[in-house]
Amino acid sequence: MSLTFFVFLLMGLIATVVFVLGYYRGVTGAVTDHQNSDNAAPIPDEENSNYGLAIVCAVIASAVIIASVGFVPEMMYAGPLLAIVTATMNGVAFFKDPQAQ
Amino acid sequence: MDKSALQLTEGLTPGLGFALMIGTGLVFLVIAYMIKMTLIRNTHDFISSNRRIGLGFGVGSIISVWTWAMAVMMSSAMAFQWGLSGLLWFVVPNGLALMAMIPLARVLRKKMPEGYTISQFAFNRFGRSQIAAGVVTITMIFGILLEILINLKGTSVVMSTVFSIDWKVATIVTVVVVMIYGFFGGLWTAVMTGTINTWMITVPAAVVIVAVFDLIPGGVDTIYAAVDSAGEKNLSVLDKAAAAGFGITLAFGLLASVVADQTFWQKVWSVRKDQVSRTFMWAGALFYPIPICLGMLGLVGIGYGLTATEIGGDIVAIGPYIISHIGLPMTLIIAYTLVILAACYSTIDGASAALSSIVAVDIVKRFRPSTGERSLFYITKASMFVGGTVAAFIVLSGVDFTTLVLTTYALKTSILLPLVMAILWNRTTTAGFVGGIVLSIVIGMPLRSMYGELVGTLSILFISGITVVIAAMVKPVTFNDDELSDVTSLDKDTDVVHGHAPKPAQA
Repeated sequence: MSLTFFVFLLMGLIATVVFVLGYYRGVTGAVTDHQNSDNAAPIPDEENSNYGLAIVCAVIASAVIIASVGFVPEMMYAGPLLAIVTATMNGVAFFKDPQAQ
Repeated sequence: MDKSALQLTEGLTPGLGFALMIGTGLVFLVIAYMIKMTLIRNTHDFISSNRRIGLGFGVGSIISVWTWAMAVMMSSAMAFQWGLSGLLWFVVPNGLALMAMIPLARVLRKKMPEGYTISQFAFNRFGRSQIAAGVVTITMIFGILLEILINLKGTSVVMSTVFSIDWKVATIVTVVVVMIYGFFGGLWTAVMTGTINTWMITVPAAVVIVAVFDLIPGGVDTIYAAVDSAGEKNLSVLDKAAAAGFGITLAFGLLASVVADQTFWQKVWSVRKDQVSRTFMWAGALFYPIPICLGMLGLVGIGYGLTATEIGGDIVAIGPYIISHIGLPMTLIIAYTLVILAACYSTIDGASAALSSIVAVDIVKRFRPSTGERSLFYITKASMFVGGTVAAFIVLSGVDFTTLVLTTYALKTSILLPLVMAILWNRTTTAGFVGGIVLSIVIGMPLRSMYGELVGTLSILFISGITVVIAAMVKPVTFNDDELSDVTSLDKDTDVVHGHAPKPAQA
């Protein structure tokens, strides 16, 4: 296997560590939250954030990435790279969650 | 790229396939049992996780439940059939459909904070109309059944292609495995195992795809050149044939699949109320890389010059075929199989959890409100088995489930606009809602069969929407949203699992 493969393997490993740490935090947070649910502070209402721009950006980014595969062969690696980012960000999501803090 | 070099990897025995299917299920069973002992007390917990799902589990579970086993393979198949245009039209609406839930989820969670199901919303929104609620309930049940059986079918394709397991046996094993672990923890199990599945769908998939590039001499440059020489449209995203062939219809279909699916509405009412929009935003954006990543296998298939006949007659098998024939090490073939199993298991257990909420709220509690908490809890759990068994029976019977697909398509597409308008527009009436759905099916489906999917879909959407508007103009009624806030939760205090009595009310 090439160096590129091992670089991806390493990135996958790092993503896995972040994911596992986040997952563990999420589970312990959920259990603690469940045990304290009777005495828990009320959950605040959702902030009035506007996600319109974020949605447009996400849609355009996905289209641009796919289109760019047709111009630059190396962009074929973008999908695998971003899939690893998805796992990492799922792990990060647990740390952004007030429940688990 | 010489396709004669593609040979089935040795050692892919049925025993190994069974070990993967059952082993994954056993790991999830342990998790489910721990969830049952720590997080589940009653039906309310079982179907809504006490409305305490946080951002991490929300994002992970929505991504995994939206990543169907078929979707994992379809991204490769669409790229294989249409080149990058196929991948674009498959991928872009997929993530957008999830993010399109944000305004609807935000409004409904605020208006009806103690809700459980979208049918329950229809029931209360339309003056306790059994017809309006019934149409929505049937649509949800059909959709759930279809989700389960399509994923069963997808898994059986993979297990028979890669491990030569009889597809009927693979179907039975899958249903039994998922139903057993799902039985214990309900939505919490679906959410926690689904989040693990999101990892399984991403990291192993990425490593496997890069390994496939590595095994081809010259890597991505060779693939690029081969795909380009196979057809000039393969590397373009502007092929109109892909848009007309499936893209536009798929876009509306995906939107309807999310908005008219209890699997997602269950999440809307189960995620912490301050995280609902953010959860769908993250899930939609982070979903995109998965089909883009797996779609690369379709380009590899084009590069090798494979045909549908050479891979067993079904282009959906292009991904599993490449993986099992290109010479990957056994560990990576196993990793790919786990990607498919993860996609399948998470969608089926998510759909089963959604079915349990419909049975509890829209069937048992609506028609027998006096049902005690203990009975409700066990009926709810049993409904998951019933759903799985019915879906497995349909798949195993070998019947062509085109009728079910068409019926579900008709119901979901026709309900899309009336449902969205019912949520966002308080002048939507019961007559408009039900009439829009019925008229659009009665007129739109024949148009679809005569003029094709695109005309049919647009007709159904137009008729359903305009009927709602006309009905509102003919008999103007303004719904008072406060009536939705009167909806109450199920019994939260009785502990069926651990046998505790309800806590006495505080003086």
